[in-house]
Amino acid sequence: MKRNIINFLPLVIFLALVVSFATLLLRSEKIEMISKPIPTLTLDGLKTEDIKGPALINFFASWCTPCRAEHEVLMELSEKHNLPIYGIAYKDKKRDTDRYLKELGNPYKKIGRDEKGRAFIDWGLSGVPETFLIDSDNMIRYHHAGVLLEENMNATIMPLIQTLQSEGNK
Amino acid sequence: MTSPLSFELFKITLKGAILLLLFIPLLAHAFVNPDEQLSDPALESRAREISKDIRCPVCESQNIDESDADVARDLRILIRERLTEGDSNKEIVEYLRIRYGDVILMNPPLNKTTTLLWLGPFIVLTFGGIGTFLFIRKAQT
Repeated sequence: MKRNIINFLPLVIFLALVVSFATLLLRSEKIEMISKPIPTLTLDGLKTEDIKGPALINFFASWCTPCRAEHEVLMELSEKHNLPIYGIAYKDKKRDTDRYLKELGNPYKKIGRDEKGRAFIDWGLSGVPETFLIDSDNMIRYHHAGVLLEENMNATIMPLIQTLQSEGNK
Repeated sequence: MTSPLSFELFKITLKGAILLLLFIPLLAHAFVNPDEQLSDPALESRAREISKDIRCPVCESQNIDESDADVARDLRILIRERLTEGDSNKEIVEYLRIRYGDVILMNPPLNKTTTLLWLGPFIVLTFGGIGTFLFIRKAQT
């Protein structure tokens, strides 16, 4: 009996590694930018001094299909909660961005145009959409890669927003 | 000599496949466009050197020197701009590492989080070797 357990040990270790690597690879939270002040923005339409946290900063593009998927969530956030969302349109023509927001609604307080993709690199992005949550000192508190799903909102983003908003009122 | 035809066919296919695989490295050419290149050859060669150690954030298993992804191109241009402004190689790599973490380096440093990555294969080899040795010895007796 004891022998059997030892025989299966390599398999168990292997499966444990697969699970831990998969979780690390598939996680949507990125940690490198956390607790850093927001990088300087000098975009057409959005500069660093325009941003006042607590707020959400959302990189998107009209050509990006996953962005469509999270648009509903952003709309709801902007309508029901007192939290400004700043948008950064990544490599998107102004005409296309305008048409996109006309079709789906505009959740953004202000929109910056990252035509050269320089802000994208400066903020450590690897794709669109990606979203940052910043506090009242404009420090990054959360960095989400990929679509913001209803479940992400309920589990992580909303509780964090509440914390940040009560911090800001102090 | 009397091997069936299907086996011969298999051997030919296998040889062809191996030959084909040998040529794959030739496809891994640099993607640096002429319009991206710096006129100063010393700076350009430093840019190439840095680019070879920076992982493309969207393609992951390619460096930015060999990737034709949009982001890789933007990173190559950014590196060249910073070199022209007088940044050292180390400063440029550090700029990217702060934003993307050690993953951005093709050759990540050995530290707390990468220990398993670097030592894992040796650990597996050691335990696998011991296991195989014990198994064979047991099978012989």
